[in-house]
This record gives sequence, structure tokens and C-alpha cells, in this order.
Amino acid sequence: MRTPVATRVGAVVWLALGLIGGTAAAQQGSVTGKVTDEASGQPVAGARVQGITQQVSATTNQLGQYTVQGVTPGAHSLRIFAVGYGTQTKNVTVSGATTVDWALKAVPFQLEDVVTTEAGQQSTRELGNSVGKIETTQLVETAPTTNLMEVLSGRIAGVAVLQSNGTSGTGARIRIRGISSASLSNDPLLYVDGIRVAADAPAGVFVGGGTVSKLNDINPEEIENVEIVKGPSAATLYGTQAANGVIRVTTKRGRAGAPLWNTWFEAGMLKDNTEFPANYFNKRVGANSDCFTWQEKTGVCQVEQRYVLDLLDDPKTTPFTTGFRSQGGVSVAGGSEAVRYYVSAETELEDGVLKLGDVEKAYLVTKRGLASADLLPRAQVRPNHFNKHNFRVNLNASPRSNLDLALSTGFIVNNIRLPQTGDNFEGMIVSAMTGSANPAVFAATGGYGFSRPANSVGEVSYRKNDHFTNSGTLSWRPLSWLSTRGTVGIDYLVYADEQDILNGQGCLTCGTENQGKRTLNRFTDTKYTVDLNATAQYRLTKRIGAKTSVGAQFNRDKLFGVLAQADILPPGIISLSAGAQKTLTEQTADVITLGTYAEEQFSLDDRLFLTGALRIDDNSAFGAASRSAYYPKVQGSWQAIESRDAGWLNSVRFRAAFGATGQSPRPLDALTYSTPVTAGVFGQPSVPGVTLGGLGDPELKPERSREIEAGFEAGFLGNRVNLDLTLYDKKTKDALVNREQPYSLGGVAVRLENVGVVSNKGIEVSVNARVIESPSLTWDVQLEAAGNRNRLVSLKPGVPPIVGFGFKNIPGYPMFGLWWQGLTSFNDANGDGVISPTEVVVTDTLVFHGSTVPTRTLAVNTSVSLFKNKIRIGGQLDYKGGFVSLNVNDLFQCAFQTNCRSLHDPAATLEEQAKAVAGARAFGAYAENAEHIRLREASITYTASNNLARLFRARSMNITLTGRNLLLKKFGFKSWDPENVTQSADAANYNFGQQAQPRYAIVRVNLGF
Amino acid sequence: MPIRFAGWARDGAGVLLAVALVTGCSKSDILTADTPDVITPDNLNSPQGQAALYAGAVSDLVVSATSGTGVVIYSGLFTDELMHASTPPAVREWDLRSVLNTNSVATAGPNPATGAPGGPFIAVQRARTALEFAASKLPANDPRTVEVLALEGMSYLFLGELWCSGTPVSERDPTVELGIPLSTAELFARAMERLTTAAAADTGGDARITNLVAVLRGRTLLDQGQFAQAATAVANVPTAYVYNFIHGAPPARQTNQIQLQTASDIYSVSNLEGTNGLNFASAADPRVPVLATGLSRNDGVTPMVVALKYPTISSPVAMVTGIEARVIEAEAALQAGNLLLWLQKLNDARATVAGLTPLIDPGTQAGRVDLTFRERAFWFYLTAHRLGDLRRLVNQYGRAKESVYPTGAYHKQGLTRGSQATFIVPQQEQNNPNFQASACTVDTP
Repeated sequence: MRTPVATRVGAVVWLALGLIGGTAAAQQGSVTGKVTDEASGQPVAGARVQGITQQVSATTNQLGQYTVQGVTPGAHSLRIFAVGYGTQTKNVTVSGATTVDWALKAVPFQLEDVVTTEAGQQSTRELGNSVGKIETTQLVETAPTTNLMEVLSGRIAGVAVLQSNGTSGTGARIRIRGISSASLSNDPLLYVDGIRVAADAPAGVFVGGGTVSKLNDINPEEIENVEIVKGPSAATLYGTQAANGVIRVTTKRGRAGAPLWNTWFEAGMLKDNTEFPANYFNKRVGANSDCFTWQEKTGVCQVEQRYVLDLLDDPKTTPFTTGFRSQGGVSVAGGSEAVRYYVSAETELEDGVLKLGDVEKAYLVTKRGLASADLLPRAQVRPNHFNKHNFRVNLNASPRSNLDLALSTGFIVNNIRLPQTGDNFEGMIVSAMTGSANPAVFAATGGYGFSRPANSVGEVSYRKNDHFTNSGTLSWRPLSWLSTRGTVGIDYLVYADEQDILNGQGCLTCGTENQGKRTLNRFTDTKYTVDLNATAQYRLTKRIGAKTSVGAQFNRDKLFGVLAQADILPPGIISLSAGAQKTLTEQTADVITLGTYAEEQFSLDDRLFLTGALRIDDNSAFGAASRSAYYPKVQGSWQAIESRDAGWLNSVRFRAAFGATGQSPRPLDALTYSTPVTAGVFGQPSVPGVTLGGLGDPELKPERSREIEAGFEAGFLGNRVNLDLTLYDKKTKDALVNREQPYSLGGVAVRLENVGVVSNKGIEVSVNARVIESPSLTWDVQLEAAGNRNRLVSLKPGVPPIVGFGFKNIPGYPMFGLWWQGLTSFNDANGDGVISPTEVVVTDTLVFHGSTVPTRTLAVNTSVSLFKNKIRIGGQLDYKGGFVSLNVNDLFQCAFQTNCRSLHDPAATLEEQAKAVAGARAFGAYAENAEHIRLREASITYTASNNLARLFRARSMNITLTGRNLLLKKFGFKSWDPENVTQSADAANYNFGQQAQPRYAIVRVNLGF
Repeated sequence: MPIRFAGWARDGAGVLLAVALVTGCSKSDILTADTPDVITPDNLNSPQGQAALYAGAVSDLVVSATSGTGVVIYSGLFTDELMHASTPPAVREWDLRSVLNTNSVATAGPNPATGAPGGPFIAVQRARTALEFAASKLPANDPRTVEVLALEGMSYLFLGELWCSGTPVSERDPTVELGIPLSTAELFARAMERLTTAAAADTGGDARITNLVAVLRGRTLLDQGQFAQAATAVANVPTAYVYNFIHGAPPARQTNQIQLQTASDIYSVSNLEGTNGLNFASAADPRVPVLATGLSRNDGVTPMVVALKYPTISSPVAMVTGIEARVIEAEAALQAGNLLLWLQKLNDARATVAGLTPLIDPGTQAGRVDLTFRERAFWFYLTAHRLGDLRRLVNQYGRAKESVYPTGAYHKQGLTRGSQATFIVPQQEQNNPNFQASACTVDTP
């Protein structure tokens, strides 16, 4: 039996380190000192002093003091990094205990930072790739960022946060540098404190749209910073599955010193401000049926009376109300130099904007024989709600001068009640939009189509998460030139999707549902991480330095689910055991990755850096014929101009990177297998049977993405203006595509095969500028702009275009673009002022209407500080363009329900009429430009003086008033929210019946003790 | 030196222990993921495996016929049996006889996790291959072998009666062989070949199976225009014979979705649909019991007439019957000019149902053909016979296509019916290099 490569490497590394480690301590010196603010003389806590010539570092405590242990006696260069301050470098000669103090200069923007790489904590100047980094502490205090997606939105060029709807508790899709994969996930990986954490968004029970994102389980209050690795050019540390980028979250840590308490409270309101379309009905003379405008004009019928019904805006029937949210938490951090701690707890709740309208309540009171509407269950009266509780304990220990241990434990409970929305017979918005204004129908249905809300709310849906994340990192520096790191962790998520209907409640036209139903799908999603690394740093000559890193990793992602449903329940009970009919199934998805890598970096004068690396991954889901994947990386970085104050050009760094990574197939894609079914045959109504489950491809190999990127960063005008520009070219080869099989084969519909090439090319531009700087006023502006050109380059010979519902993946076009039959032209040929069905021309074949994801994004973040930072005003404008959305809201009303204004109002424009009469044959008539600008955030913060804070016995205090989703400007989209999508995946997206993103107004108080 | 070793031991012992534990496994062991939800091929060779293959294959054919996307509902929509009473446009295309090869119902794939069969085409093809595979694995002298061969023949009948001439049939066992388009006649020939094999293998020990083979042979011969041979094939089948597609209540895989979906206002019983349709909804015929409930609660437009033929979701569907044997005999008699026998056979069948009065001869040949096919339509309502019959009316009796299919203005949304006479082969078949979309002559019965 052969010993695995990874483990052999790990064993050798650790054995070697152990054998030589004992010799290290006697040869070491140390550097101690204090770090202060140059202007105020106040200590700077949390600054990181890092060796350039030797891999050592230390972080300042609350008094600004630090000690770098284990420094080899002799000449050294040290560099310091601190949030809000410029980086400095000092040359020192270490002899025993050497003192080096630092006085840091506050800067508007940091040109250089420290990020996590294969070689540990590295300065960005050494990297050839662009890494985004967000320091979150101030952000969460002063901006309306209640979850991680809001933290990411509009802060880093190339990171697109694509909202799906405004339902409280649901999340968005995050796409970094476009869409790479045709059939696999395009979600980035999530790491928290060095281990892989569940971040994908599996669909729960059907509610019509909006998916709960596990990403939003993470509490922004606990986050120290977020790093974004944008793609394959920097994925050596992450390997297979990192093709879509990596979100790396580092949580807060304690610093040596007295306990620092922080507490925060916030309360706010949310409100829907949508103007919804009404329902129309023109009663024709002599019959209780509809008469459209074009029919009236062409003499088919005459209109006796025009009716308009607007259930969504009528105060008696509207399902919208003012929502409420509150949040409060406390944290404490401190400790000694030997042991430091950070502990936090927070609770958050939000009632969404949906409610049961008064008319519907009255209907239920009568139907259920209740004494009053107050007796209706709150879960039905307010169908959208979540409450989330976060707890975190982080410990750091330094038992020896060359040994650090970091432990992280986070626990999250998140219970979400989801309303019926979107593309859903029972959706509150859809059932109102599809209702009839015909008074005769109104009497029977309340004006609602499909299922009226009073019945639909009888189906109560939940997602309940219990998320436990634990990691430990041991950093050991056995030799002055050698540092090692071992991280182990487990992310354990138990989530349950539930959907309950009591007997006698629920939709009346949904089979047996109104006889009672209980769905309970319970999943355990476990991710194991083992990450071993050793980095040697040494100098080849006085000017040339080198770093050698080797590492081995093990990742296992295992999802196990038990899905149970009981139908037809006795009255008054919601229990699986009570069902007259029961269904039980089990699901397992298990993927294991074993990776090893080696990286070599050379530096010249600490200004020119060249890096090469190779990673080898084995994965359980690769086909038996292709077990290993090789991912190379080459990078270069040149600090052409060191940061300086003189002149208009203050710093320039050029960088370029090439790298590759991949994405593994799903667990069963390489297997041919059968699945069990329960069959009924003569005389045996229930016997075990089998049916074909999968027709695997044994040649399956990982989808392979390679990326070239190049760019520069420059500081101008005394570093008051920073420009960061990156061009990238990402190509995904052997793209794994769910390839349709000929149906005559009678097997599976699709089989995952390596058949395509996908390209993403783009540009990312970040500009940070301090427009005004004076003692009493500063004004900062940050622009984050990105453009992406996504194309399916080719499919393997013989593979036809991949066609799905509303999309077509065809070479030369964007992935998952919108394809439908279109409205070619219309002409009022008979001059009667209306468009009839014979006066439109539609295409017979599918035509391309545009990308369904934004190809241009621009976020403008700005902040103005007044009165020596006592008042801070901030905001974010978020622009997304270069994409289309299928406006199914109007399409469905006009083409299928035929109750839209365009068919009934003589004042409707000819274009509106043409779309309405053509829509049924040409959905593409409603493919509309989704370009828009949204005032995503606005905030004003007052920071109290120390004297005022002391009145509350506080060390610090600030109060923030924030708003979110305040204004929306559309450039062509006719329905309410161009960001809404019905699915939370990349394929087949359309905009139907989703709740718009509500407007938030929140007050927040932060107190430090 | 001892001190150094102690330091190393303290620092590294835990980590090395972990490494040692890991090195005890091979790379292959580490990379072996759990796959508890699947059955590998080696598990299907035992008697228990054969039993599971048999049951699964029969089940595949049942769900291809009577699931929510089965051939019964979709041939009912395509013909004059059912009207679309809901909103999804992809379903409406079937009612309009204007189905794109990208239609989402036609192109729906199976869901292994739920056992859902996918669209009508892949469901029937899947059943066909499963039945063929089961037949190859079962013992030769086993009645189950005869049954699966007969049902495989039935799957070919579905393909021949419902889909266009030019429909390919491919094989996946033991190796993948993508098929060329087969004409309707070739599909019926394949059906007859399987049924002949079944008959040869039948030892006669199980009348249920023997009669199944006989009626299916009669139906195939009728499709082939061999009326006398068809009558001979079914002569020994008792009128009371029934071969049911078995259903159960959820969570059974085989549920009677015809019942559920008509009761849920998704489909309504048609009445004189598209000028040429029969009066299923208003005939007050006990073979097609109905209940008018007003307008559909889904689209608010379609007059909702609920089909009561299948009272519950677990009601069986009699797919092969002795009644069919009598009606085949009647049609053969009509073809032979034996009008007395023709009427007698029809009335023999009618005599089995209370409330049905004996028929009288309408007096003309065209009237007799109409009456025969009307009887078939009411007897075999919602059993996937009607489309094959409409095609036979054109191909065997010389009727004009637009005189037998529902035609003209649609009952809602100002639409007009299309010209298709058969089901289309879904777009996925274009992954078969032996198939061209033009080979499927969808407008020709």
C-alpha cells in the first residue's frame, strides 16, 4: 500500500521541523517598541509589525506595545501595517532585545496591506494578483450593513452581489469576475479563520423565489476583515473549487490589555414602496366577458363598463405593511500577552413587509369561526420573519516565543419564516396580479387569481439553521528562517426546511394540501479542513531574498439529508407521525479533495518579486481515469516607485499573474448506477424496484480555469488619490456541461461531460480620492468599477448548443443569456390607433436579447467627515448595467391572464399594446433593459465627545442613522425592480412576482466601555 | 541533546500523531467518498436484483403513461379528450397541437431523486430500455419475462401511435448504440417483433399475461392495417379481461395523476373541441363520467368539467382490456363487410355497462366508421388510444386531417390551433448524430 503524497510531505515537513526546532531558541533576539499616532501621540492598537528579511511578526496591544520574538541577531528590515495608517519600513540591527518605536501617519487610503497567502501573512506588494480587502469594523458601525452580502456589495471591483428579491432572510448571488461554469456552481468559496465553511445556497422548500444564503449566517460584527481572492491566478492555497474566487473572512481577535467592552443596539423600519400594476376588465355589451381595446376598435365587441382592481395598493387588501428590525449585541476583548480572547454575542430579528390584509383576515375569521382576527396565528398574519443569534469565542495563546495557537468557535442559530412569493400559484403578489377585476368573479375569489392569500398563508415555511464553526491554527517557528502552520477545523451546519399546513387550511386547488401537510427536510452539511504549511525565508545574496513554501491540504464536504413528508393530517396537528401518507428519502453528497503544493518566491531589494507555484489535487469526484489535476501559478510584482510624499506621482506598483485552478464534478457524476423506487406490480402494490439513476462518464476530469491578470496601483497628489487598475482574461477549459443525451437512449436526460471553453475578460478599476482635507472637513470618494465580457467560446465537436428554458448556451454568446422568440416589429396598418394581433411580427426562432447578469458595475462610495470626525455622512450609489431582465410581471398579466392595462386602456402606447398582443408568441417582447442606479446606502453618524460618552459611563459612543435602498432609477425596465430574479441560480432567470428590496431606516447606537 | 529532543517531542508529538494516523490510509482510501444512495450494477444479478429490475421496469412504463407528464394526459390534450384549463404556456402548446421541440414538457428530464419520469418521450424510451434490460436479465421461462417483453412491445406501440414517423430508438445495453429514425411502420414492426417473442415464450400458465400479449398483438395488427389478423389475435380474450396499470396513494411512485390534475382544475374534459371533437363532456355517457364545476379556478376562463373516470389518485388505469378485444373484432368485421357481427361485437361490449343502450346501424359506411371510432373513444377515454385512432382515421380510412383533429380557433386568448398531427421528438435528440429534426414528419399523421 502506497503512502499518500500529501501525508508523506506533511510528515517530512513536520519531522524536519521538529528535529531542528530545538536549536532555534538560543540564537534568537527580539524587537520591542511602541506604536503611536504621529499627530495625537495616542497608542495604535492592532498594528502589525512584520519582518521583511525574516518571517516574524507581532501585533500591538491596546497600549500600542509589541514584541517581535525570535529575531536573528543582525541587520533586519521591518515593516508596519495598521488600518488607517501609511505603511512604514525601518532597517534595524537586532542585538538581544532591541527597541524600535513607530509614529504612524494617518492616511486616507492604504496603498499596501497584509493578506493571507501560501506563505502566510504577506504584504500585497509581493503579489502579482489583485486581492480585495474590506476592513469591516467601521463599516458595520456607520453603514446599513446587516449581513455579509451587504458588506461586500459595491466595495470591491469585480465582485457582483446580485440580489434576488426583498424577502427578509434571503440572500443574493455573488459572482466574481463573471460566470465560469455552465453547469456547476459559480459561487465563490468561503473561508472563515482558515477553514472552509458552508456558503452555497441550496434550495429549500418551494416558496416561489428567494433562497436563503448561508453566507449571511456570518455576523458582520464579528468580522475583522474580508479578503477576496478573485480567481485562478491566486488559487494555489485553495485548489480545486476555487475557480470562482474565494471569500476569506477573518474574525476579530483580542489584544493584550484590559477588557474592552463594546455593545450596540439598533432598531429600524422597512417598507415596500412599489407601485404595482392594477388588473383591468372591460365588460362587453351583452356578455360577462372581456373586451380588449383592439377588439373594441375592430368591432368584435363593445365596452359596457371598464373596471380596475388594485389589490396590492388598496389599504384594505394590500399585503404590505411596515416591517421592523432590531439588533443588539455585546463583545469583550482583552487578555495578556500569553492568552488573549474575544467573545461576542448578538441577537437580531426582522419582521418582513408582508402581512395578511384586513379583507383576508376577515375571510379567515369567518371561515375558521374565530371570535376575532387577533386569534389568527402570527406566522400566518406576518408570514416573513427571521431571528438570528450569533455567539463567538476566539482565543489566542502564545505558550512559547515561537509558538502561537489561535482557536475560533462560532455558533449561529438562524430561524427564517419565508412567505409565499414569486413564481408561485400561492404567491401573494402573483395571486393579486393575476386576479380578475370582473365584479362577478370578485365575489367568489376576492379578486385574487389562483389561491387567495388567506388560504396560501395556511402553508407556513421555514428554514432553520444551526451552524457551528470551529477551527484551530498552530503557528510554529522552529528556526529563524522557517515558519510552519497547521490549521484544522470543522464546519458543522444542521439546517431544516419545513413546510406545514394544518388540515382545513392552505390552497384549495392544490391537490390534497388543504387536508394537511408536514414537510421536514433535515440536512447535515459538514466540512472538514486540514491545512499544513511550511515556509522557509532566506537570503540568497544581500539583495536577493527567497521564500519557499510547501503545503498539504485535506478537504471533505459531506452533505447528508433526510427528507420526510406527511400528507393528510388529522385536524389540529402538525406532525410527521400523524400523516395518512408519508414519504421518506435520504440524500448524501460527499466530495473529498487532497492537495499538495510548493511555491517559490524570489525578491530583489524588496521591490521586485517573482513567484512560481504548482499545486496537485486529487478528488473523489474525478473520473477513475483522471485522478489528479495540476495547477501552476506564476506571478510578478514590481514596486516601481516606493511610497513618497514628494511630487504628484507618489507610488507605483506593477503586477501580473498567471494561474490555474479547477472545479470538481459533483459526487456521482462519474458513476453509472441505479436508484431505488417503490414499484407496484400485479398483486404487489408496493415492492422494491430499481430505475436508472446515472450514466456516468469515467473520463470525467475537473473543469480547468486559467487566468492571466495584469495591472497597476498608483498613488497621486500626496497619495490622496489612488488608482488600482486590473485587466484579466480567464478561460475555463474542459468546462463541465450538463450535456443533454439523446432521449431515444432512454437513459438520463443529461450527463456531465467536459465539452466546452468559457471566457471571461474584464477590467476592474478602483479609485480612492480624498477630495477635501481640512481639520474640520474631509471628503472621501471611492469608485469601484468593473466590466466583464463573458462568452462561451466553443463546444466540443458534435455537441449542439445547450438550450434551456429561456436560455441558450451557444458559442459566441454569454453564458445563460436571455433567448426567446422576439417581437420584430409592429405597425398600425389600418390606422385605427390600436395594435391588433395581426399587426405584429414575431420571430419563429429563439433570438438573443442580452446577458442576464450585469456586465458593467459601478459603485460610488462616499463619506464626508465634519467637525473633526464628529459627524460623518456616508453613502453608496450602486449602478448595474449591460444586462436584460425578462419582465414576466407584465408578460404574465398581458399574455396569459389578459388583465393588463395595455389590453384595456385606450391610452396605452402602441408599443405597450404590441407587446401585449405578441407576448404569448414572443416572450422576448418583454426582455427589457435592466440597467439601473440605486441609492443603496446613506448614513449619518454622530460621534460623541469623551465627556458625553462618560455620562453613559462609556469610553466611546456614536449614533448612526442609516437608510438602505432609498432611491431607484431605471433605464428601460418597465416593472418594479430590475434586480429581482425568480431563481437564485444563473440559468433561466426571470423577474416574476418578487417582492422589491424594501427601504430601510435604522438607528444604531454603539457604546464602548 | 536530551533537552532538545524533549522540546521537539512536546511541540510536534500531537501533529505527528495526526500525520501517522493519516498515513495509515492509502490515497485511494482517503479519496473514497460515501455513496449510500445508489445501486451499482453488480447488485442486480441476484434473484432479488432481478425482481427489482422487473418491478422497476414495469413501474417505468406505468409512470410514462399515467404520471403528470405521461402520455395519457398529453395525448388527451393533443386530441379532443382534454382542454388546458390552467396557465403554463408550455402545456397549452400541446392542446394547441403546436409544440416546439424545445417545449419544456417535451424536454423535461427524469428526476432520479423523486422517481419522476420526465417528459413523455424520454419516459417511454426509458421504460422501453428498462423493459428490454429486464427481459435480458430474467430467466427465459419466467412469466415475468413474457410480461416485460409484452410491455416493451407496448412501449413501441406508444412510440408508433403517438410520435412522428421518423422517431429514433437507441440502445444502451450492453453498449450505447444511437438509433436512426424509424418510420411509423417500422415502429409497429418492432412492437410486433417483441410481442411475437413474448407469445413464443409464453407457456400459457398465466391467463393475465397470455391475454395481455393477445390484445397488444391485436392492437398492433390493427395499427398495421391487418384487421382480420387482429381479430384472430384477440379472439380468445374474455370481454371481462383487464390489465391494469397499478397506482397507489402518495408516496407511491405510481400515482394516478390523471385524476389529481383533472380534479385540480388543470385539465378539463373537452366538449366538441375544435369543431371535430366528440362531446365527451355533454354526452352523459357512463364510460366518461364528468362533473361540471363552473370556470376553472386556475385560468378563470375555461369551463371546468372534471373527469370522474378515475375516482381517486390510487385508481388503476385499465390499459389493456377484453373490451378492446371486442372492439378490435368489431372493426375487423366492419372492414370485412360483416355488419351484423360488427354491431354485435360493439353491443356485446356495451352490454357490460349498465345504462348503455344497444347501438343501431347508422346506415352509411362513413357513419359506421364514425360510430366505431366514437365507441373506441368513449371506451378508451384517457388511456392513450385516441391519437392513434385519429391517425388511423386519416391513414386507414382516408379522412382529411383537419376533419378529425381539433382545429381552428382556440377557446381562450385569441389563439388558433396548429397543424401538428403527432408528437414531436424533443430537441435533445439532436445530440444523436443519426437524427435530423426534419426526419420527424410531425404534420403528417
